[in-house]
Amino acid sequence: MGWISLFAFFLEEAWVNLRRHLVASLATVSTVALTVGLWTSFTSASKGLETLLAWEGKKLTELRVGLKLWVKEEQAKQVVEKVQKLPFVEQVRFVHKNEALKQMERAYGNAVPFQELIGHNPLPHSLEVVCRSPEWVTQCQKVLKTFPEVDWIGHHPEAVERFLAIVNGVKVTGAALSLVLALVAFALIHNDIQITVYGRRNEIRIMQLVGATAWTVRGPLIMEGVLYGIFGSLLAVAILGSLMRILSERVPTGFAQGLLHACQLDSMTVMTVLGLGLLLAGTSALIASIRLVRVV
Amino acid sequence: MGMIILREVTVRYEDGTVALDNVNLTVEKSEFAFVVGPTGAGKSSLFKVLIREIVPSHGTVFVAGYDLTRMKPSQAPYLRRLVGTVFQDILLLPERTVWENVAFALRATGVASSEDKREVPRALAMVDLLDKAKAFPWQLSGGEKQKVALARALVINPLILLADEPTGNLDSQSSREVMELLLRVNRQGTTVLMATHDPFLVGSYRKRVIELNSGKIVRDYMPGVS
Repeated sequence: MGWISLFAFFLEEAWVNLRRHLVASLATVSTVALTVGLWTSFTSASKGLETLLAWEGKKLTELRVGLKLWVKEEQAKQVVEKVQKLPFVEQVRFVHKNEALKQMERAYGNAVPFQELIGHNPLPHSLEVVCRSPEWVTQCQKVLKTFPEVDWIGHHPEAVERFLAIVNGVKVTGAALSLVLALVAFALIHNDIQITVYGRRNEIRIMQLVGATAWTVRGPLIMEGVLYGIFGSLLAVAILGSLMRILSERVPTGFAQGLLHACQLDSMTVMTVLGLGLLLAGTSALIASIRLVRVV
Repeated sequence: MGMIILREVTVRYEDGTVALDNVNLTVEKSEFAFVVGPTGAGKSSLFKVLIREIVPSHGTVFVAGYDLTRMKPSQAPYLRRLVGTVFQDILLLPERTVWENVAFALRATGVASSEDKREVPRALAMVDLLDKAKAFPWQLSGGEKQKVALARALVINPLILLADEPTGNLDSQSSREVMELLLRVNRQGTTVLMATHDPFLVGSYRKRVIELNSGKIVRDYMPGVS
């Protein structure tokens, strides 16, 4: 049994079919590309947003905790140890009140000599707490509020919630759109295979008469689906890659540029796109071929 | 043991039509037999039974040692590699050359493409079409097309050849050529069963005649032998 010959036969026959109904094939390849491309865009976007969060979004996971004025340096360091033990806390830094004053002077300019104006440093010791992820920030705040040494907690929880809502929205929209498009691609591939089975009825009849097994008859049809998957995925990668390049040249620096940078197509993403396209198109063709080519 | 054995074979279709009615038949190895009878006599149903496209409602069928009534559908392709078929509607692939049409049968049965150079010329030589290897079907006459179909059936070296009205659409000269080829194939040891409507053709050759009518074998005789 020449397996290589059989594979070459499948490939050759599939290629002939693909060219035979070129317009339908192009429509199918485009739909596969759109499905896989959209899925990848949404997945990359949500991943990019999360990566951005990891880069700049430290602010979103960061809490500034002001201690009460009566808390001495030693007591503050004990608080640091307690906070450090909380499971959702990644990092805690003690900020001495003198350092806090210097930070304030830097922020408002040295033109205002705060200490001289008031005569003493009025600021309390404070902590910089970094949570493990934005989801933990609210919980962390609740726990820290129960500490008697804590006076106030500086944070904007609505920013975190808004950010998380955006990430989730991107994920859900992407999943829903991809699902709808996957169904469309599935139907189109099924339809293409049906056209092929009709167009190839003589070949199929001859194959059955000369003793081709059911899987040999189905082979070219499945291969046709695989080719749709490969071409669709490659098209998706090409379009996404070009789009990224164009956008990164035109989008001004800042958040959008950072997001684009975080969404770059790496080799892992390209492999995933190829795998997805193959899985989608190959499975559709497999099911269609089993339904349409019966063992006679 | 015969190459083809049918015992009390009945084929009844879902609509109640009886295509074969209690048929008993034995065809020996290397035998040539005509199957004759009017349209609807059961000739095509008989051939479909022999390649297991139809499973009889009753009776047993043995072909080349295989019990077809007990055979799983997945095994049918392997049986068909032993039973070549040629039909009136020739079924050549128009966009492929003669060589490619013949090689298609090898590809479809998983034979390595390296075998093409040996097997395709051998099959084409058997039907005297070696010089037309690069021609497309539209460049051939009706008789030549039928010869290509015959070469495609022969390239997989079948033990049995079923020819269902192979001369049905051909002029008398082409019919004679195809007939001579079938006889040549038979002389090389292949069992040949040929269905035909043409009484002149049957009368021209002293070969066994199996006459079907309404699904029954009404006569089974050798012309000139009382």
